[in-house]
Order: sequence, then structure tokens, then C-alpha cells
Amino acid sequence: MKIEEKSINDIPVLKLYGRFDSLTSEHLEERLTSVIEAGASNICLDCQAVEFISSSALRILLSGLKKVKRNQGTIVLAAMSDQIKEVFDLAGFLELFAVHNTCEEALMMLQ
Amino acid sequence: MAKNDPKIGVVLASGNIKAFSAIPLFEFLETEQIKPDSLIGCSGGSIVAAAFGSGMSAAEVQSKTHQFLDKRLFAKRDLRSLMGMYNLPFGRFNKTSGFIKPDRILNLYHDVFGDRKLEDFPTRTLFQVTEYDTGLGKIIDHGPVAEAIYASGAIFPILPPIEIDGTYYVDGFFTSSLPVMEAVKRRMDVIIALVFEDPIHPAPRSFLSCFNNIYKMQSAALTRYQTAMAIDLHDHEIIVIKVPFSRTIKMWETDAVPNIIEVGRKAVEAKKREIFSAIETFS
Repeated sequence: MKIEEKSINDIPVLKLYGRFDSLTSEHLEERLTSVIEAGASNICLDCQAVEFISSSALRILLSGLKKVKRNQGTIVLAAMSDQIKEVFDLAGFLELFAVHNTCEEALMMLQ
Repeated sequence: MAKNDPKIGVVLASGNIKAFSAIPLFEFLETEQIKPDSLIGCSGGSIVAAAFGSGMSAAEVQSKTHQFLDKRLFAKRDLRSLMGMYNLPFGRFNKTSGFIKPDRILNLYHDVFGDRKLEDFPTRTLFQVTEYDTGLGKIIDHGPVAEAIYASGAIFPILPPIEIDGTYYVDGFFTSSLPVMEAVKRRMDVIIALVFEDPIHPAPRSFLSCFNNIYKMQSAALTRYQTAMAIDLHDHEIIVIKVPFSRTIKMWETDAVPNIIEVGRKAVEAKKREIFSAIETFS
């Protein structure tokens, strides 16, 4: 599991790599919280390299979404594989998050 | 089980005969000596949950599938209810009515489970039902097994509701086709939830096909909302296993059983690592 962070047009983009489960989701929570506490309201998560995501990691994303919503922001998800998209779908999370095919699309939406 | 071992809950969705695709999950749990602390079923899932909750092995359940899949169970029509649907003379339709008489189905459950009560089962077993008069989702966790399984799958108006202790119950699918929230409420740490999906019929040409389509859409929507809420409220892992079928399978398609089990086997195989990981990472 690895998380790379960059900023495009002042929008933080977190690129997620590997497997996110109850062991590794703590790290995801720390990174997400630190970005939100630094003042970001809109965040893009690049999920292209996500191999697996468990319900505990989904819960972290939902918690992050609730936090940014308080500041009229949102978290958008980009470039999910079909397999990861199915996990979000089964969990009912596709109706909670905006999902885009590419990071570029997601960033355009946020701007 | 050590004190810090996770409590395992298995949740089986509605899905009539497709729920038998859960058999490979129980084979896997038996092989790995992972003992569920509770089994929660809805409708078809309740039949399978009851079978395993009563202490049957995967092989025993598989050998009994033909008993549950007999077309004759659904052959006794209630003419008075059918006439009542069209307001014909001598017809009658009220909350005790249904197009199919339930006696044979109830007799079957009595044949298989006798007069056993849920509280006597070696594994805690619960069924999702819907209270007819209030529309509220309820859980039956005690009392006679046969009536409780029937209640969980009483798909009104095809089957009539059943009265248990003065309350009328219908199919749990109307309120929670995948009762994963119940597993969260019961403090299960690792929740393994099986959901059985077959495609929406693109050109339905009968009452049942149209009804089935609506049934599936409603069930899928409810499942998504309730699973999202369950994930939010839970504090460890919920593993949702989708068992995908390429076509609609009729309740009495006994020939389809080997294929149903095979589809379940593939779906479970793909999630084994996730199940192990959820158990290992519990602290």
C-alpha cells in the first residue's frame, strides 16, 4: 500500500496504490485527515492502482467525505478498475461518491 | 476460540433457489474450522441458514436440496384468493390471502426441521421478516423453525402471510433482502454477506417475469443503502460476496443445482483471501 500526494490547480490529488484493508486503512485515514486539516475541501482520489479495498477502508473514505461536506466540498474518485468499482457498487458507495473515468475528468468537475 | 478471536456472522440474502450457492462457503468454513457465531438469512437465504444453523454439514445440506426444490410445493392454488383478485363472486382477498396455498411448504419445513425451535440450534440463527401490519423489518430469533422460515419467504401476494403469536409476517425481502445491519447490531466483527444476483429480464412477457424484475430492482436498491449504512456503523470488516448468475433460475429447477453450487464456489474462491485477512487483522 502506498499513497502519493500532489496538487493540481490547488486541488489535492491522492494516488492510491495496492491493497487497503483494516491494517493499512489507518495510513489512508492519516493522509486524508492531514489533507482536510490543511484546508482542502475538494479532493481527488486516483484509484487506478488500487488492487483491493475492504469495508474498513471504505469507511475511512466515507468519514473523509462527511468532513469535506461540512465545508461544501467533496471527494471524487477517478480511474477505478471494474473490480474496485464493483466493490463500491455492492457497498452502495457509488451513490455517495462522484466517480469519473479519469483524473482529468474528475479535476474538471471539481474546478 | 480465543477471547480476541473475531465473532463471525454469515448473512444470506434472499434469492430463492440461488441461496443454495452458499453451500461452498460453508464447505470452506468447515475445512478451515471457522465457526460462525451467527447466521442471518432472508427468504431463500433463511432456508440455507436454517439448514446450517441446525447443525447439518455442507454435504447433508447438498443432499437435501431436492426436497426444497419440488415444483409440487407450489402447485396448490388458492382459487378463492385468485377470484378475489378480480373481485369475482365467491372470491376473497385480504391480508390472509395468497395465490398459492402454503400447506405443502410448511409441511416440508416441518419434515426437515421437525418441531425444533430456533433457540435450540447449535449456531445462533436469525431470520429477516417483515411485519405485515406495520411494514417494519423484524428479526425472528426464537420459536418454531418451520413457521419462521416460511415467514421469511412468504412473498405476498403469491404466498399468504403467516400469523405468529398474533402478528402477521411476510417475506423479509420487502424490508431487508440482505440483513447485514442485523449482523452489525449483533456485534459480529467479521461479516460475510452473500448476495445472489441474476439479470433483469430485458423483455418480460409474463406477470411473474415483470414481478421478478421489480423484485430484483427493489432488492438491489435496498441492499445498497443498507450495506452502506452497515459499513458506516461497523468497526471491522464486512465482506460482500456477489454470486452472479447469468440467467433467471426458477424455484424448482433441480437440474440447475450443480451449476448453482459451482457459481457459488467460484464466487467464494475469489474472496477467500479477503476472509482470511479480515480474521487475521482483527484485534
